[in-house]
Amino acid sequence: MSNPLYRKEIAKEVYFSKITDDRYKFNLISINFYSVIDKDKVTANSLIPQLLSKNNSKYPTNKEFSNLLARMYAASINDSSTTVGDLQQLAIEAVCLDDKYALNGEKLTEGITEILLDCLLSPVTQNGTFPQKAFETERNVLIEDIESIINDKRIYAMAQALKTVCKDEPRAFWNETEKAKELTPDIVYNAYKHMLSSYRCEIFCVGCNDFSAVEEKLTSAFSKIERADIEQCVTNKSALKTEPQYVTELMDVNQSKMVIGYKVDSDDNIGTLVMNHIYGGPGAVTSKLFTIVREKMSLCYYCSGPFNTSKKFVVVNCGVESDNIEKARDEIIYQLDEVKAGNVSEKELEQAKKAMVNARRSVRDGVGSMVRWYLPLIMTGDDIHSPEDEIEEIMSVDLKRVIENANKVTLDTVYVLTSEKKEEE
Amino acid sequence: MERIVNKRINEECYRIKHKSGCTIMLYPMKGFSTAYALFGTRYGSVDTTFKTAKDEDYVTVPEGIAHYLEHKLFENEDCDAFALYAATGASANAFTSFDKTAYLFSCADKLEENLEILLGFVQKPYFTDETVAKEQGIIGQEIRMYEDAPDWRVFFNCLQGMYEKNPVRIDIAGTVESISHIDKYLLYRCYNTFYNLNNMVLAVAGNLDVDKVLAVCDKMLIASEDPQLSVKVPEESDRVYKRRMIQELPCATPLFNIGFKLPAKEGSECYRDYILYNLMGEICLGKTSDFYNRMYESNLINNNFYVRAFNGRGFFGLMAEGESADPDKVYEEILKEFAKLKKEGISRDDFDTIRNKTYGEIVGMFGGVESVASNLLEFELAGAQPYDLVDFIADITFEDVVNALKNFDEENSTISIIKNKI
Repeated sequence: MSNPLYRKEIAKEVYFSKITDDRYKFNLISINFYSVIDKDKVTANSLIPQLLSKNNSKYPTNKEFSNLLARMYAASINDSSTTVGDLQQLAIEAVCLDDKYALNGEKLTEGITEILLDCLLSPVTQNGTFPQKAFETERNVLIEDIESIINDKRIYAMAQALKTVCKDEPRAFWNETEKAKELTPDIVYNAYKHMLSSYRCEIFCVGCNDFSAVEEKLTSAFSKIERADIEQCVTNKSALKTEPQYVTELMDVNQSKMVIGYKVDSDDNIGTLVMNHIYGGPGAVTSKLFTIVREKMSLCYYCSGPFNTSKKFVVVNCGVESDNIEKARDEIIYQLDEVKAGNVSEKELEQAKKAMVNARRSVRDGVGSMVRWYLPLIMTGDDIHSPEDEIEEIMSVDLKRVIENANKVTLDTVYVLTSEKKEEE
Repeated sequence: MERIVNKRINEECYRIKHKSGCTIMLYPMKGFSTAYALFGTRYGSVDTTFKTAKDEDYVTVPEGIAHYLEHKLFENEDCDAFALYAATGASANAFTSFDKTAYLFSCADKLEENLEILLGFVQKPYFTDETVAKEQGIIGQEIRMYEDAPDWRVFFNCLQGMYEKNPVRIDIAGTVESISHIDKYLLYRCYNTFYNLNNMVLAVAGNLDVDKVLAVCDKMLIASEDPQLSVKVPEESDRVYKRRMIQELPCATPLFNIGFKLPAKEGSECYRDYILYNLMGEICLGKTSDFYNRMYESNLINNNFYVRAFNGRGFFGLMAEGESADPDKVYEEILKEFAKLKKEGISRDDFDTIRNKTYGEIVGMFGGVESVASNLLEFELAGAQPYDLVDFIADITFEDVVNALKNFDEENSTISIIKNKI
């Protein structure tokens, strides 16, 4: 059975949370550091978890380290640098099978915790900094990663559109090749030290283990770190432009991509989520965008957009034939007008609620989905609530609330990636 | 009803040969909130030439028709299947692969009601000229999307190099041109041939009650006569068709797939080879290998390098995939590495390490409702057993891998590269 969320501050601005549930076969320990995205620091920061996750001072080569994890039944140490609102989230996390599946009685969870802590607190260094060779290798990997965004045109178009949607806001900035080329081992090592001392830290454990031993080890390890003044982690809602911005980018593509960004002037997140599901939320097969733009008009294979609850924007994205860009754009915007005008049925509302409830009831079935549920809530200052709490809130939304929230949504940006130059608006 | 138990990982499931002809695989999982169900048929993009006992001769249908049929089956006379699921809130989808088509849903409650929807619409085709024409636009956009995806193109180009005639070389969705030849008559013909319950499997895992699921099956499954289906697979050489495939697309670092062609086996034997060659590939080229670390530290590969066996009905191979500024150099190094290891041998320690790792990954596959249900369907459609992978990884020996490597012909391979179009 599932236990409620346990949460405790184990060092200055270092929070330990856990959920124990015997349905899982895995244990996940996720350590996350947060700072407001800074265009001059974001690229250096991104390299930190990447460098920390490949080895540590006890297993100093990548090969030794990979072998160690492989022998622990495919345990893994993963790293990521992502966004939550205006924040950069630097994560290093461990996933391993529960001890009961080990063939020779190994204590996998305690073992992986020690490895993870060694990665975080005892990385391989040379002359007081990251070794030059390993640094260069990882920097090259980062540069290739930055540049490879172009390989997926849907993701590329979204990233490019967000630069306009969130213009001049922290969320508009991310890793850049030029910045990566300027980095040195010292710059990244200093950024690492700063992260340990001054960034808010959230540790999240999910699995069938009760994580008491893990909590002890982490508490002891973090008590040895000097924590200075902790940087504030604030996300501001994205500002609405005075006039919608139209951006067209040219590339040799077979299919054009379009992103339509809206700003949301509402504090009612749940009401807006329900409204957006009816309009065109991701995976919403009863939404207006799916049933009309895709199914009825056959304009797109995909056409939907998530609502960012902390930055307060909706970004509808679709792939469309270049000849149909205007037609698709007008229809996507018109369908929102339909919701605003109240042309939404009780049936559409009920369908949206049922699908949203189903999605939230599924959250507990995966360790990863639990972490992805709680961490953004914790970090964007939203109420920390369970999936079950949100279900109750969703069920209370009525059509009036849907229409009210739709009327707080305003067109902000239209971004098009196409191979043909289209007339500017 | 057959109860299938695996003592190694202490798991069990059920196989039922239903009177309708359909095989039902059920996997109750305690403590889980959701259930995941797939209704699938042994019909994929490779099944382009076929006949039944009633047909005089084989018919060859346009490329991409299995996938097209999957899209169209979602539409009933009154409404589409999404609208039916909307009443329960279940999350539904479908997919077509090389050798199967499956319709699926995930739900947190009302499993029986959702099963009725699933079994109902898949057994009730409704195709008209209008609805078939409407889908050309949507699928056309799906095809265009994949034309711009370098990771998709590099894989299919590799298959086109490895195989000369086997239909695994064709895109699952076909081309904008090939789907233009699809009409309602062809769709009905394909449906009536392959969507026969003797050719189909229902797999359900998660929060379920076996008796209640079977009661829905009794109510919904309509018995069908075995059509004695025969699929014609063209004779294919053991050797790769072309050694090198190049395409230019907007991308960053060039992408590569290196496919090593191997003989395809059937049923459980296919999965024994799957384990064997995955182990061999991981030991020689995987993250724990000298090769990987040498290449990584020389910046010739990055984090996105993987080696894996790929298998399906009528095809089998080992694939090394990644990104590199110099894919030809990586290929050359891979060939040299295999040649060297064949001569010098691999270590028993490396074998033990990779076997532990693979065991962990396989146990992990039994950790979520979606992967359990998906594997149940795949194994049953392929004529294998649900716990084959668990048993094979436990039984495989160092000598098995040594022998596989000794007989491995690394030169029987194709490199596919996507270079940046400037």
